[in-house]
Amino acid sequence: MKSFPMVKTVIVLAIIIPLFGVQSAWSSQKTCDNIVKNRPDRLINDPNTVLNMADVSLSVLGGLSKGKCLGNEFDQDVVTKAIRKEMTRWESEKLPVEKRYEEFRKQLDILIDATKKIASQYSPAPRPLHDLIKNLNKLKKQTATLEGLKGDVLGYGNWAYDIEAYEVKGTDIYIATLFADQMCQQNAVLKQPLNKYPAPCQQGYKVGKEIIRIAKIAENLIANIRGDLTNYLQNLTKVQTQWEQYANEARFQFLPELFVNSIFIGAVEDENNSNFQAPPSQQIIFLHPSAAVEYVNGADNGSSLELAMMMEWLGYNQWKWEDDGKIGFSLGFSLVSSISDRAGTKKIGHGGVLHINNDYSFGVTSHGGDVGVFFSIDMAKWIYDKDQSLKDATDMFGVNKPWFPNPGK
Amino acid sequence: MAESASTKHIIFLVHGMGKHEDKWSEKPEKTLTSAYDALKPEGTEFADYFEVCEITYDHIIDEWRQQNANNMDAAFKVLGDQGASSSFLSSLRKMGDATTSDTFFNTHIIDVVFYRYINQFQELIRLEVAKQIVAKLDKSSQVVKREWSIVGHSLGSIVVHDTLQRMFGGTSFGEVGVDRLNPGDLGPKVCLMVANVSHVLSNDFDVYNSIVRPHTDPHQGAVEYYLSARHEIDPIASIFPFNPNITSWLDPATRSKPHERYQNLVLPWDDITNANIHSLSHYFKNPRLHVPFFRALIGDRDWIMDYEQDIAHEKYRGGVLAQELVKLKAKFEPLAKGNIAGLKGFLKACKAFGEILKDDYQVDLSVKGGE
Repeated sequence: MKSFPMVKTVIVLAIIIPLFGVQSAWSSQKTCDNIVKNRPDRLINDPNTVLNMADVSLSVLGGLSKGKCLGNEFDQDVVTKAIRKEMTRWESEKLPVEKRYEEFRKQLDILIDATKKIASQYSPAPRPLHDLIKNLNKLKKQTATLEGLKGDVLGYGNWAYDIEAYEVKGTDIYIATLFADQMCQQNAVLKQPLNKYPAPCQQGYKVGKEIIRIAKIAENLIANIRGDLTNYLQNLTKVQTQWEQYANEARFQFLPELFVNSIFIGAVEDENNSNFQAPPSQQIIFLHPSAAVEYVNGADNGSSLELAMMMEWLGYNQWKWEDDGKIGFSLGFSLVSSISDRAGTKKIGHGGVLHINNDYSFGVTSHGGDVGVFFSIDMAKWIYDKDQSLKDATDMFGVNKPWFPNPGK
Repeated sequence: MAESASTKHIIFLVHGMGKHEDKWSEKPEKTLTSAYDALKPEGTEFADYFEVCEITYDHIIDEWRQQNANNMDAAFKVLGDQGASSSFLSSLRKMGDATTSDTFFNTHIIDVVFYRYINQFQELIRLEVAKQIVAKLDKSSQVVKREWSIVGHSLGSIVVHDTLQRMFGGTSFGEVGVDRLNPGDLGPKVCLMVANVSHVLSNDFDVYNSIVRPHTDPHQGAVEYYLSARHEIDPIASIFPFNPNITSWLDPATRSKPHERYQNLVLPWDDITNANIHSLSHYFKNPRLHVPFFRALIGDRDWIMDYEQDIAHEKYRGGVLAQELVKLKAKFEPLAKGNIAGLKGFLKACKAFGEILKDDYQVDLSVKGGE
């Protein structure tokens, strides 16, 4: 008895779940029916337009095409649904592009056969249907290889229906010719549904629907291969990593450096290419303040080892890019002044500093003849990643500044 | 079998100046959705066709500002009070400090200046925007040809322009950097620039001579529809409006399309329902903007008839700030017609606009972005 509620649940779910599918199909069908049913009246209600039956039919076809009712997700047509189901399978099975290409060829054959079958229903078949078959065969020839499919296929593969030119883009298939009959040039009348139009207009409408549908399915099939973004995303990610490394892992750039390096990048950028490119593998150092631990021979006892502010006036830093987009070995040099509060020697010293791997800097200064030696791990990195080791370093060297900054805590 | 990945037309929203938290686009998205659902064209709903995806990039400049503040602080504290005794060091310090606090200047004007002049931020922002777009598209279903459109608001208009140029422009495939994408296969359907400032802020690329335009040949124009919107007295959008020479910008075949591929949507001065006339939601709410946008998204002018747009606009007019209109015009119009040329005039107008909103209408843009 205990299992009864579970059985009931399963039964209820078994009834409800398929209903969601039915609901969705019903709702999409309703959307497409709405277009067919309401658009003629909406058009004719517009006080600024006088339309004939061809205009109304073509507008309805346009609405169905843009409303995803032909060859697209709201279409209940058998061929559309079958090919769509196949493409959904490719996606769920994550078929690689080569495999999808093989499947594409099979589906293209199915599409050509389906179009021929439609054409056989008419005697003679309207010209646009012939044109469609001709174009599908041309597409088949052009896509005989995967490279061919990725190249300049008909209309770049854009076979969407152009509702203003009444043309399937890129194919010279003109839908308007289906409504060339004089009877279709008569004014459309309010509350006259499409299925009451004269026979030639109804046939034009029916054939037009089929052509737009088949063309859209072909476009979706082509886009499945040509619209692949896997490689682009990988390359984009690599270049983004390089720029992030440039911004965060090379030496931090203060405001003046940002401006100076922008001018520098502008000067070396390849102007013929506006696609995304890697950042430079060097940077200019300009007015860059940071902290250092400096030993000055000649300063009074107790004052020879101090924290100093280092001001790099001008310098250059260069590195190698690794394959994964990260910065490899780097080397740089700057002209520098060190400023510190110490007794027995000049407070300001001038000299040079060498930067290795962006983190480690060693320099020599002269304080009015007294030689100063300093080392600095780039302040920005110390503060963010290694602030504890700065304190360890200052403790180790006996440097003690009670106001020592500890931002970010 | 149920399809897991979305097949809907994705609309990316790219923000403008100022700070934008996660979900910043909720309000404009809601405005857009409600507008569509109120029109209910062909009996359809917004969710039947579209999905909105927000793009955020302001963290890039914000992170630098934070890092700059900490580094300046650390370097100068080594000197203690002595730093202030040197006028040079003191000015350097002040320059560093100037970018740190959350004032309107720092959260808005600096965004503009940094994006306009600093290469590092330009590239990081463009890459971030492109990455978010491509990652989202990559996750969408390939059962149908992917459809997407993009909306750039204010500063976001130049960001969108430059990003699209980087994605689809260039002369080479595979020679340098990332291969460009083929616009015929993956180009956006609609590019809507709201409060379009892309001309006044253009730097690397000439916005009147780029691939971000409609063209019959997708390799010369990557977008199908380009809509540029500005409110007549929005100082930020109207001081130096986007105004291409149509005869040279568009090819004859594109110019002759009945459903205009380029639309310059100028919203009349008295269409005001909120003092913050620059906000994205304020623009979206206006049928003179959202109706052409929906038509372009679908690609069918008859999707919403002119008389249906008129009815919607009449209803919209019921909500305008009738009592405030003259006062708002007196405040904003002189800014929109500012007489200082170039970027300086633009920044001045931005600053004055921000101050009026804050002082007279208690809208602090430095706290909340221009959603």
